[in-house]
Amino acid sequence: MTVVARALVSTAPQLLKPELNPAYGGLVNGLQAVEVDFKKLGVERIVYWSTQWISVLGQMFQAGSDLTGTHVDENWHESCELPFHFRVDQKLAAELCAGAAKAGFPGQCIDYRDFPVDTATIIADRFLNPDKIPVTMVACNVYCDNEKTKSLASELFKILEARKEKIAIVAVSLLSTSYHTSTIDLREDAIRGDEENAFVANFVRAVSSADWITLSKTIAHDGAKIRTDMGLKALSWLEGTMPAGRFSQPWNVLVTGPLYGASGIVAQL
Amino acid sequence: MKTTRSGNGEIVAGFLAPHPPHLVYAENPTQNEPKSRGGWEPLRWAYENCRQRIKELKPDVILVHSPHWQTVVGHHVTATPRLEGRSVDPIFPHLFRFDYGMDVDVELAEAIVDECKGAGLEAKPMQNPKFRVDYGTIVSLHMLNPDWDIPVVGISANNSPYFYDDKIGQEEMSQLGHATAKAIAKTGRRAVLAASNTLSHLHFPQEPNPGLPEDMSCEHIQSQAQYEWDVKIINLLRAGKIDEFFEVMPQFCREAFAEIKAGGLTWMLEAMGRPRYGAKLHGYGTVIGTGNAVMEWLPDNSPKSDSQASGGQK
Ligand SMILES: [Fe+2]
Repeated sequence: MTVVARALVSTAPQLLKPELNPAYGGLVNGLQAVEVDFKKLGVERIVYWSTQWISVLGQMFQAGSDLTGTHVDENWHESCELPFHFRVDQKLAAELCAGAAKAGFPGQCIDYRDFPVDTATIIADRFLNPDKIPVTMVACNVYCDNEKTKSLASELFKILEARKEKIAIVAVSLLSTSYHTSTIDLREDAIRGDEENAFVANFVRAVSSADWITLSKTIAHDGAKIRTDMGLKALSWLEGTMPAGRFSQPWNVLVTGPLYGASGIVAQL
Repeated sequence: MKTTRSGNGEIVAGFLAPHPPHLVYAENPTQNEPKSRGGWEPLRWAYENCRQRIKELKPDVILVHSPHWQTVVGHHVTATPRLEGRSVDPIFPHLFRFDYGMDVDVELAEAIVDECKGAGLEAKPMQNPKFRVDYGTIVSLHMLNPDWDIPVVGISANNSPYFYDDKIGQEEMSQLGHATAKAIAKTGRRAVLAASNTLSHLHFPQEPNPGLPEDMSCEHIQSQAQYEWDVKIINLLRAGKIDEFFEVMPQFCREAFAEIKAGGLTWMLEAMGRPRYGAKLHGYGTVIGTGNAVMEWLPDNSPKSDSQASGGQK
């Protein structure tokens, strides 16, 4: 078993100011707990998949030989300027890309200076990977539905399992994306919407008790009423990376909380 | 850069200026790292006409509304004197890695933010010089003015058309258009507007010939239905049937996944007072299956070239 950890995490620029809102502090603590766990498990590679890195023409795998720079967030440009540096395992990216193509998911490895890495992945890596473990990233393909995303993940899981390193799979995604659309006082940030709040509570209850039937009902019924992040494709991605191709053990949900009205989560699978 | 001038500013032209990065790639400007054998000439020839027109009009500023700078809270406006750096298209990085440098009309940008706020809209100036300008903004600006010798203002696409419904979203863009027009008038600028939008937007799931992205033998519209929608929209705009256009726009956006949903065209047409004169079509072409029209609106008080003065689209 070389995939030793899986996590679903939500990040946003607000987490750079955890002191402003106890809920931000909670999410940061959750991310730090995951990081501690990665260390304990001896994680040697992290594979990120983020709903904020979109591909439309086939799959994309990050293979940047010089993935360094300063990223200014498109929304929070006045407060979120992120210097970043990733050590990318180019061979791993190439293997995943080749494996995906063989399985009917053609795509490309990305190795371009100044390629715009998404805010969510940069912030996730800042918390989860202070020691700069080599990583790669897989884009979220908008034309792969949940089923195809799961099947791509299953194919890639086989490749990861055949590696010798201990690998962590991290999906970066929000639950709901009902952002506040006007300026708020960050100290008063809360998950927006009654239905969204109910969804988050039901979601957490279902995954924490391994009640997968309720989870799929919650997603199908309640999820359809709210703005979920990319149709919660992150779950399909993660499920595809489970050895049996489905969730079995209960998740360890460390925390949920608001990110400018959207709902965030930090959970270990 | 202009200094303060008050009153009497005007919008001297508006362009529908689609931004497939393929067009810049095909041009082979020194700023773009990947090189090509050309391609998509009909659209690039269409842009050549616009360049000519812009030179004639001698505007102070070009404003562009881009769907690839999407913002959640309000409308953001570039408001720092100089923006430069490298912009890599996250979708087509093999085609577009562009070293840009642009002077920003900060005074106008700030006036737009003020007018927006005065109208009750959320708005924010973007004052960080390290901000990476999106490829939509750059492609439209480069295709309209490859000399980059006219100051610019970039306006973000607020997410409201996707977050709320068509009515709320387009109403927001309409108000943004009015605020933009007021700011232009108050600051005394001669302004060109650019709506950075493709029409029908469903495209091929893969590049047809990855070895030669500019292989024009592979280029065609994604579907006949999409083509017919584009023709319908172009004809309405050529005939100046603006009310009819706005009436069918939501259906067009739904059925052809049109990029104008992001609001750029609504913003521009509203800023120009919902022009009832015909737009001039400079060209139509497909890029990996999407439908792109390069069109021009020239208000009555702007000098007309021979072709336009003789009637044509009026
Ligand atoms: Fe676009």
